[in-house]
Amino acid sequence: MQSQGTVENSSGDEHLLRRLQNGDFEAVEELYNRHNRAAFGLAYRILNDAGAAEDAVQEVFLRVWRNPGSYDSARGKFATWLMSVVHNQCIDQLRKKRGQTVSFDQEESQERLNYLAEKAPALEEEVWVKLRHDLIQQALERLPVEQRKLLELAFFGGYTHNEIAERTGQPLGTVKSRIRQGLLKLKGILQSLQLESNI
Amino acid sequence: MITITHDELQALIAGYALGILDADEKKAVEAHLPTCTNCQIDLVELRSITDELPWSVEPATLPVGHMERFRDKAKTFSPEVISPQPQPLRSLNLAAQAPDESEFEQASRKRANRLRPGNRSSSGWRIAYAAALLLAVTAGILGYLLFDTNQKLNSQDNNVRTLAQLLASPNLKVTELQPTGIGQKSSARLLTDTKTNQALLVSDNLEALPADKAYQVWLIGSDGKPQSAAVFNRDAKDGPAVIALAPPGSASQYKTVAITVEPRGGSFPGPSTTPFTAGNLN
Repeated sequence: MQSQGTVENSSGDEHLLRRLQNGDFEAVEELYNRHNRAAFGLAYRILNDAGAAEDAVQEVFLRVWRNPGSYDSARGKFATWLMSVVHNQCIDQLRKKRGQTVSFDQEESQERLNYLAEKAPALEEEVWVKLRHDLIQQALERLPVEQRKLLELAFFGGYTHNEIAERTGQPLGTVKSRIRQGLLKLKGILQSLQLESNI
Repeated sequence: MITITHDELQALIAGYALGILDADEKKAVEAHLPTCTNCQIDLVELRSITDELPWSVEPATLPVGHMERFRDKAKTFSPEVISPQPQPLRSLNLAAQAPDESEFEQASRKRANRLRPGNRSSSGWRIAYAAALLLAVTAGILGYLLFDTNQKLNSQDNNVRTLAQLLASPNLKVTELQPTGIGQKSSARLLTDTKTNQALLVSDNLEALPADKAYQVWLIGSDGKPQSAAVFNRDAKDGPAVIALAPPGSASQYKTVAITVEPRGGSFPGPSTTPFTAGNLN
């Protein structure tokens, strides 16, 4: 059964990874089916290029297929590790391409993406992915603008502390501490949102 | 490799979690992490947040034909068929002393699986997600500490066992203690289980004390009265401190944790010196 998003189905993923170790390609296909949309969404957000984003995502899954031992369980569940590796892969590519002119019109990009898609964006999302998305999105919106801006430059732009300091005109020390404070504040906001949702 | 201070390294941990350090900085942080429990815990805490950032992006459908392209690419690879790999934690002596964390993980998976679509309300999903988030943090902390520092902690078997239990707890609370004065560098983390009342102090930069001195941990309630929770000595040869606390009554009643230097054996009924590091529990 093909999933539309990423399923926090750790026992299923672990079972598939075990099958993968025995050379079962259907297992990596199933993992790819489960997680490709979330991974592609992230890759496209960073690279703004459907072809490059697809290549980046598929490269990560091929790495898992080629060497199942590359999944580091100390980094958490497979979905968490996967998104982290996709992020790193895309940032590396982005940094290599830095300096080339890249248009960044979100609306136009989204339209192009929809046109290229196999079908219209799914109306049904995995509930888990949707809730996770909603929660972190709400938390980010509650973050002070300056901290959010720096986190976006860092996480989605792949800029180093020095590059962020240059782009924003802020002192290097301020950039480092605002990024750290932003992450910690985000953690507090997420915890508050979780508490609110329990009321 | 560049030479930088511990404070400067600590300031880079967030950048490391985000993956934005340059090569020299990254090397310095990676060389430092195995030697510093506090920074390891710091990294795990920060990563618990950076791991959520990818989910702020909407999932998107890949272009038409992506599955065929994926299969074509896969044909050029032959997988390395390998026998099942041992889990990193289970290969360590210390892991044998740790509680069966898989029981906790199994319980969480069962809990999460019960909350599949159609079985629970939206708030139930949020609760399950919150539990999964905390599991990721604590499992990560356990992984880092046991994997990298097990040799140093081996001499404190009982406390390490408690540490492993604590880190696997869904009720884990981490409080950071900060220096109270300019020029003071010592810091520590207090890990508490809000349900079982277990509490551990973890620090790896407490200085060695003369033989006639000792560190004393205080918990202070809303009435301002400090209660002694532990007295311990530090030798020059000691590694990171992992100290079990025995707070009178429930740990949740206290507002502040602090550490002082006292005469050997401790000071009673209250501290005789000013705390050099402290943290707010609430």
